[in-house]
Amino acid sequence: MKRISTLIQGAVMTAAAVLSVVGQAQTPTGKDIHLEAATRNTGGDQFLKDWTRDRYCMYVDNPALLAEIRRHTAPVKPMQIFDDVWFAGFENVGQFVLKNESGFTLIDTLNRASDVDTYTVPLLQSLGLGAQMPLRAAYATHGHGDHDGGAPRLRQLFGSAFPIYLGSGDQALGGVKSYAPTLIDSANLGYQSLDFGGRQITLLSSPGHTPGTMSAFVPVHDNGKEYLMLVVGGTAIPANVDATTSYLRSVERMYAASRDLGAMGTLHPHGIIDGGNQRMADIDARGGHTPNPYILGNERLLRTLAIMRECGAAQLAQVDPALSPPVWRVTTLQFDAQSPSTTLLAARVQSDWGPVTGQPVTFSVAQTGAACTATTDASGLASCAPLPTLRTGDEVTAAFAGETGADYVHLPSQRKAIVSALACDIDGNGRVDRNDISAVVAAIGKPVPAGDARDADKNGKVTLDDARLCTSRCTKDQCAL
Amino acid sequence: MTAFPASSASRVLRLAAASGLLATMFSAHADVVLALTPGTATSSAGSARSVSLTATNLEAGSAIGGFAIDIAYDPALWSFSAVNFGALLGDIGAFQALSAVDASTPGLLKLTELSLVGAFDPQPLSALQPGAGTAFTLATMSFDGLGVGSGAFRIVGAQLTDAAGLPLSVAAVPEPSTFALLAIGGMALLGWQRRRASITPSRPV
Repeated sequence: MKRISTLIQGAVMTAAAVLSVVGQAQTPTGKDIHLEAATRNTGGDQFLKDWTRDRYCMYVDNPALLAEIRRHTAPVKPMQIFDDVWFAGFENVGQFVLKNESGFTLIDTLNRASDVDTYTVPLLQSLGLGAQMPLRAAYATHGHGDHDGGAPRLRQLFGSAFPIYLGSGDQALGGVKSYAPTLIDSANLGYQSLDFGGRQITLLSSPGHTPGTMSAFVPVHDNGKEYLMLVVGGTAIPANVDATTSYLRSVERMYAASRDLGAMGTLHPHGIIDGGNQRMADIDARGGHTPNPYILGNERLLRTLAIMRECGAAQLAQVDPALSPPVWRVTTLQFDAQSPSTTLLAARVQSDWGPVTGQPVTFSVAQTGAACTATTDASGLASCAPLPTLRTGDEVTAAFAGETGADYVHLPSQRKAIVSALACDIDGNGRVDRNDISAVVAAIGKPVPAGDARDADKNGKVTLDDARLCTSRCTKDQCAL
Repeated sequence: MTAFPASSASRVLRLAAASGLLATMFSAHADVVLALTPGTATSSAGSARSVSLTATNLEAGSAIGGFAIDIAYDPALWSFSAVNFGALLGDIGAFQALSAVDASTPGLLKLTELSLVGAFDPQPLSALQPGAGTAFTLATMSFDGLGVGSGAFRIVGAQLTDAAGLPLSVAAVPEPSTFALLAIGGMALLGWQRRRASITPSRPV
């Protein structure tokens, strides 16, 4: 009897333990939810996973990685990363040197006086520093020593005639700033335009990492063409509720500003965080900065900031479990494989959580101004009916404006494509990707039956033109799988 | 420095102008000019030779979206060893372009590259490639020397397509020997015109 009782007690305890584990698995913490969201928002992009996700979120979930990164203090080879931008400094922190028409400007000043003497000044001299090309200005992203530690030496070397900008919230950070910074109003959370040594930049106060953290949108050039880049002012996520909340709101404003202004990538003083170090290695290996790995495109930059935002939200949920803001879900919008054509206008909205259902998608035609709106079905597909007038060659934009749910936000997304009659889904899997393009290339010069999809231009033979034509039909950017 | 009499200097200028005109005429209706550098090289057993294939877009705003180019070389002098495609149709390592190399026929190298960079990419092809008139590298080939002698590298076939998938017309920069033949022909034409002028009775005013 006693043995049976013991067995029953054991079974009850085991069941309780199992239920406890199951219960824990079913109720993840707010921190867990946001960390998982940061991972999901990479969309399977391994670069974003390895750099953006793992390194912004390491302040929440990976102190070992943070400790390791802080040991990477070796200097890096000065590197030209755009027509008019160079990076100098170290693996874990550095500065950007901007060459303008009539002089140079600096974003950040390195750690200390000896860094300026060893890295900044020789680079400036090699680029033509002189009476006609003086140092015009510097801007410190915030008042920590690894960003403005070299400022006193710059003041000593180049005099008082040039401004060193700093967010006003950091004017006393770490003591009195001896380099007489020109203060930018940290309380102004709107856009602040600045003539930065002849280059117009837009400053965006982004408190959180420090009270005076100042991000910026800076125009740069690659192969002569201008691109707008986001300078991320602060990285490490603070660990108290007020500062973390401030950090979160700043990242959200950086997201909105990047979308409004059409920014294309990040310039990060900590290249070990955003992948800048890897990008410089790629440029060095290839011997040129075009195509430029810093230029992500607006969609991928917004994804980057959504990941950063979820890392901040995870930290907020960790420091105060009662505070768990809605999860930001990145959405993607893709045209259906045979769309847009003169007879079909359909696109699908989805996130890593699944299809986005019951939401409006607006299709607009650039050339005619025609538009229609359709609602996504259970599979996330929105199909226009009746169709607006569509002609081959018209440019169509499909746009999803976003959706706010009880505990999530579906972020907006859009895609452009050209109206055509091309099929190009050679393997018939419902999408066009580089496997289909490879199949067209493989058929070049070979006989194919009339109407074969590989003969995209229908001239009776498969040529390189057909393969290139089909790239315009790819479901994802650059015909990705 | 040799001093030319006025008439000789004028003749040199006319020849230079004629040569320039011939070169322009050669590519007058082309969208792209292709060139191999060097066009001719000496070989010795065990030596290595790098040959660059460049393209120049002639139309403003135009860009190359893909190419299939056949290059002939003397298989008694050279053995093909490797090729590196340029990055301005996209980074092949990042799956921005597809490429193929066929070196199965000695003396003939077939290079194919197709860009996957789209019109709505943050850096479309027109932003990657330099403006009209500036040459850029499509590929750099390496050859190993087999024998002793001098031999030419020649473009013997070329199909190019633009960013929209439309065919591009191509001109290959003539080898120096071709330029010389064209110049000799031009000089002969000028001489024939001069002789004809001297034997044609002038009309009474």
